[in-house]
Amino acid sequence: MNDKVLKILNEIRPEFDFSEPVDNFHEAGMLDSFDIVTLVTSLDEEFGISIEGVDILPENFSSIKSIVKLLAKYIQK
Amino acid sequence: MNTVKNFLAVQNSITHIKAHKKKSITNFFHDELTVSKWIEKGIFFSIEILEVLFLVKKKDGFDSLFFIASSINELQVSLPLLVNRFPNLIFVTDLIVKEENSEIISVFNQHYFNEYTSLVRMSRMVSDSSLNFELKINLKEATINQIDEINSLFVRYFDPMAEQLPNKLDLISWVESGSLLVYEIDSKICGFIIYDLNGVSLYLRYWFVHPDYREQKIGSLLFKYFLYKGKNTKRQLFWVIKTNENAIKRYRHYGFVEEKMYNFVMINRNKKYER
Repeated sequence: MNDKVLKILNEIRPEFDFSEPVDNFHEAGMLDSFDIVTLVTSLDEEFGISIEGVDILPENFSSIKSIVKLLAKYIQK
Repeated sequence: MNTVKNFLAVQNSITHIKAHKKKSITNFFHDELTVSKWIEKGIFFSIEILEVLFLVKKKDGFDSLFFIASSINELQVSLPLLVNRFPNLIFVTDLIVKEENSEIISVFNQHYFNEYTSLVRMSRMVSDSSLNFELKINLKEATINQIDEINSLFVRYFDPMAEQLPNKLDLISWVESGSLLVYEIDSKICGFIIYDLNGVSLYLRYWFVHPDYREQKIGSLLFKYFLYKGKNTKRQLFWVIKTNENAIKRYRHYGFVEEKMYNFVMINRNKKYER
């Protein structure tokens, strides 16, 4: 799952290396609010889920770990 | 239209629309803090038509329109219903797209909307940590006492339909963070620059020179300061009006390139942005 998330992130913002350890993609200036909405759409499509409005918050997309944690919640549903 | 009572109501409506799983589309990218301020002021409204949630922020003389649609086809059906239901409202909507001939643009074009203006995002990935810049006597960080003067320049010289104008609280926040610089002549503000430094990205928000003081290299000095502030970032970026070829040429000279990222400002009237 990590690899798929990394691939999606690299497609959205190819100029940044998301595999480098970063505390928070949003605060680090690597993802803006437009990117997060794009990311949500890509994750929905890739994993066949529908991330809910209450979960579309920057903190859920702050790192690969937090994204995978969020995905796990939907995939287990 | 219903007054939006809280951010959770917006989130729940988004969930409802997305649950159709038809490849949802949106132009709503605002964060909770921003939206909560609109809700507090009672200027934020919503209406659900078929499988589209429309969100409306009231402004002076027009309404900013946002949507979350379950699919492009649903937007195609719902948009004319919205416009016909509120014929007196002037809707202005920002469509951020990655292709100039995006399907979303044509949906709006087909249903009473015209292009008011369009912008392209420019960025560069270079930085030069050895860059130096000395603040001159005329160029300095703005103070709280200058907020009213800066605000009046926004009101006088900026077009609220073409740009998201800041309010006084935004200006205070930029003054406090030192990211609002002014160029003064005889204690009068002749130009200013506002930027947001966010980690590795430096975003130019506003760059202005008073018409009476143009062609005096004030703008160039302000822009060089922006480049200097980006010396330790990886990316510097801003939006520019697509038809402003002279400006685009100048930015290219500094190493900026146009991204495949466009903002089409659409209006349901026959009006065009005039520079």
